[in-house]
Parts: sequence; structure tokens; C-alpha cells
Amino acid sequence: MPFTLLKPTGIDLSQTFAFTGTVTGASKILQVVSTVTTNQFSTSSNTLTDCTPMTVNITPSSTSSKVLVLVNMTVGGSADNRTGIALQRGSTDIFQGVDDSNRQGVSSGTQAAEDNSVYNVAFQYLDSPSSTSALTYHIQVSAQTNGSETMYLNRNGTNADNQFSKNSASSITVMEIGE
Amino acid sequence: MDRDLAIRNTHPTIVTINVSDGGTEAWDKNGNLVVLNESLITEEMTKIQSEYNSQEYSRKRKAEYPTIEDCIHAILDDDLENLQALRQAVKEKYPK
Repeated sequence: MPFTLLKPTGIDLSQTFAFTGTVTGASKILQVVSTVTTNQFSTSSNTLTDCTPMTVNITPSSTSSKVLVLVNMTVGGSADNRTGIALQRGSTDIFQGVDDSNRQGVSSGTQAAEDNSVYNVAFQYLDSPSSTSALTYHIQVSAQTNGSETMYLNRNGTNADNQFSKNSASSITVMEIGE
Repeated sequence: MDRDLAIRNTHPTIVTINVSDGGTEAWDKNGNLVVLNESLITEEMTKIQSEYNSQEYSRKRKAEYPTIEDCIHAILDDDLENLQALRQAVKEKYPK
């Protein structure tokens, strides 16, 4: 017998209901996968380089699913370094600005680093991959000046043995959103 | 102790480093894995630590010297002698 509830004021949880039909008209989270890393990764390359610890894999169950990507990174740098951070699905750039002359297209970046400090970078992107294949979402990073400046994941630039130095953690999480 | 810096100082072709619980991996600009010379790295880390330790007096002096604001006030108030005395006291407290 169809169950229709209009303008409910509450549900009596003293009874047991079993959902046997299909819920329509509302999105739902079908799966969540997360990578958390405390690896201390660094690069002195000013071209975008795979930040290997910031990688997560997901296989959508339907081509109509969307994938919500949540990125939360803690980044340090050598003095005055500005880190570039870019999101990719496989080798495809997603959620990135456009390269323009010397301007680098990225998803986000940091301010000029004070080398005893760390900086938080967080962003979200709702992807529509139209795929049921295994997908890899990962982060690429860049330093500012090739060879002379360095970006660091999960630590500051000096790594001085002092309380002001913070060893931190970063994460990349993906959620399959289906209907 | 900055092992990352020691690796970069002793292996100049290295561009990217990943330090995990499983150890350290490093790559050159072409993405080729670079074999690390641990004895060179250890030697360099000792050198870096020694240089850092040798500057301890400087770090302590810097923390206790009169501030820039104090210096400006001393200039404007014609009180440079007292300022120099304060600086000298810090120097004597933390000799080279």
C-alpha cells in the first residue's frame, strides 16, 4: 500500500518501517572514500608536480552520479614561496584557472610564505565524471621559482626544532552523490 | 633537524621528496627516482645542526634586543646612549 505523508509533524519511531521501494527526487551519498596523510612531501619545481600523498580513488556506481571532492591541505614554504595547488581527475585538469602567459592556472594557492608558518588551503568541487570506471582524484603542487624555492606539505619551511613548527595532516575526500 | 634540506644540499638533481612512514623517496626533474646516499645526508645534517647551534647567541640576542619601536623612540627622544647600553647588556648576556 502506498505510503504518503503530507506536512508531517513527526514520525512515531516506536514502530518499525522497512523501505522496500525506491526513493526518488532526492540525492543521496552512495559512497565516501578519503585519504588522510601526514607525509611530508616537498618540491622545488615551479611546474605542477604530482603530490603523491594527496591521491584518492573511487569507482562511481552510475554514469549519472556526481563526485564531490573535498580538499584540505596544510602547506608551508621556503621564505616568500607561493605554492600553487591544482586538482586533477586522472590526467585531466578540473577546477582550475587558465594558464595565461606566465600566470599559472591552478585550483588554489597560498600567500607568500613566512617560513616558520604553515597555511591551510581548502576547497570543494562537484565533478560530473559520467563514468563507472575507477577514477583517481589527486593534487598537483608547484613552488614559485624553479629550484630556488620549495613548497612543503604538512610542515613549515624551516622545520626548526621549536614549538612554533607544526607537523600537520592533510586530506582529500570524495563522495559519490547519486539520485 | 631538516633532513629535507640535507637531501637537497647533497643531491642537487632532486626536485621532489616524499617522506612517509615507509621511508623517503626522491625524484629528479624528469620524475626519475634518485638513490639517496644516506652517509652524505647524515654528514650534511650534522653540519646543518652545527651551523644552527653556532647561531644560538644570535637568536637569543635578537629576542631580547630593544624593539624597532624602542629604537625610534630613542632617536626621537635623543636617548641613544641608553639604547646602546641596553643593547650592550644583551650582548654581554649572550656572548659569541
